[in-house]
Formats: sequence, C-alpha cells, structure tokens
Amino acid sequence: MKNNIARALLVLAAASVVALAPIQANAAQCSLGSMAGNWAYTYTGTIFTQNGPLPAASVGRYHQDTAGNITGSQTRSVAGNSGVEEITGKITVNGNCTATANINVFQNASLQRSAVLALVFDSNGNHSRTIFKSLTLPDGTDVPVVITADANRLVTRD
Amino acid sequence: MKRTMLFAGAVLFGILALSLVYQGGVPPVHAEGNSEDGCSAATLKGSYGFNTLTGFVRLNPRSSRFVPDVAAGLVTFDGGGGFTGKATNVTNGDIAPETPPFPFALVGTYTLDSDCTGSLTEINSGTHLNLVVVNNGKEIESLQTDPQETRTLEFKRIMVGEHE
Repeated sequence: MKNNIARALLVLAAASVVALAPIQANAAQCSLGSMAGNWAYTYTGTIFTQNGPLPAASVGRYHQDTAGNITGSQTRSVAGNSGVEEITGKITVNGNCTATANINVFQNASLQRSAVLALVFDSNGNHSRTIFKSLTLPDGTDVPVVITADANRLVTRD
Repeated sequence: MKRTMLFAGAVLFGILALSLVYQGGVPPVHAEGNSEDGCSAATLKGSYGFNTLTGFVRLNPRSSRFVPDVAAGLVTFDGGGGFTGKATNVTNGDIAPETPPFPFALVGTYTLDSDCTGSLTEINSGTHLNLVVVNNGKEIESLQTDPQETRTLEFKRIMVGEHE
C-alpha cells in the first residue's frame, strides 16, 4: 500500500515537472524566433538641421524573419514633404526583450540614410517601443535626431 | 489503493489541463479582423476613436516655422470604402472656449490592400492618410501625407466585439 502511494506521488511529481516547465520558459524570454512576423509602425520626432528643427514622421509595414532580417516599406513625411521608401535591416533580440536594429532606407534602390535603433518588446511580444540612437547619411554625416517609434503586430499573438 | 490511484489521476489531469491553458493550448477565439496578408475594405467596419500622436503644420508655406496641430475624434467605417465622423482640431493652442465638442464633420473614402496597408481621404478638410491596420483590425497606424503637414494618427476600435 505504502509502495503504491509513493509510486503514485512519484508519477505526479514527474508529470508536474514536465507539464509546468514550459510555463516558466514562456514567462520571460524573447528571441529572434518569437518576435518574427509582420509588423506595422509609426515614428515621430524631430530632425535637427543647420536651418533649424524639422518635424519628421512615418508609417510603415515590415516583415521580420526568424533570422532577424527586416524588409518593408514606409511613407515618411519630413517638414510636410512625403515620400515612399523601402527599408531593409537586421535586428538582434536579447532574452530580456530589448533589441537593437540596423536599418537602411532606400528610395528607388538608392540608399538615403541608415539608422541604429534601440527597442523593447512588450505586450507579450505584440508591441515594441523604439528610439533612434543615430541617423547617418550615405556620406557618413551623422544627423542629430530625436525620434521615437511604436510598432504593433498586424495579427496579435495570443 | 484504487482510491489513491483515482486521486492521483484526477490531480494529474488537473495539472495537464492547467498547463494547456497557460501555454495557450486552448484554441483562441479570433476576431474577423485582419489575418496575415488578409485585409480588405471590409476589415474596417465600425467605429474608431482617433487622436494625433504628434502633429505639426506650416501655416505659411514660405516660412520654415511649424506649429503644433493636433486632432481627436470619431470615425465610423462602413466596410465598403466609406466613412463618416466628427473631430476637434487644435492648431497652435488656438481654440475658442465656446467651441462645441467635435465641431468638424468628417466624410470620405478609404482603400485597404490585402497586406493591410491602405489610404484614406477626408473630403471636407482635404486630408490624406497612408495607413496600416494592425492588431487584428482593432487599431490603425497612419501618417498624413499632405504638404505642409507632418502628422501621425492612431485609431482604436471603440467596441472590440463590434466586428467579431
């Protein structure tokens, strides 16, 4: 009798470990794989030029694959002048849900600028918050900017 | 002995069921909003509140000076490419205290491609937006594309169950 109870408890303990382990794994981590998908975003902010500050904004859509490659397109407006651009880039995602992205922006296949972004994924991996760390022109000129972005998944994960 | 095994079985079943729920193993209920690459004009049907995230307008095209320009309001999409609504707009802080709420009538058209990007034209103000529908059709990210304006707007569905 005692042996049977002990055996039953042992089975229960083993089953509990197997069944509940993934819960802990899900609770914390972000990865390239888990953040892949189709995203849309807006960014807004200010570009500081020698002639004064200019408002900048954009709306866009991109796909992020499981290797961190980003491809997409956006419409941007700088001081009231809008244009359509293509974006490509690479993102690295840390386990604590912070990330860094290097993005190149093209117009008609011509590189317009490159940006380094710092991101944090929240809302269970359905949303991210971003700030531009730097913006560089093709000739190497660094352009001072204060720009933040919000991105949402096109289709929310459960 | 039998009672012990029955009890152990019940507890085991409970643990497994609990783990399935926590892991999202229970089939989720999906809205009929956008799916991956599956938007159409019908994706937008119902009422959305909106506001400007940031907005600036150049009142004098020959000037380099921009002033803040923001709006909030309500639009109702008909699911077929049209919408109506109302809005309040504030430019550089100028709004008379006696101004009634949401005095501007909105009416216009929209298009939505299968990849959930699209455009919107508001006729009364001549506003043009490029947009992307996100979060299963519950939210819209957008950018105004008119000259002299740099403005982003966000729309959120008022009744989440309205289009489910």
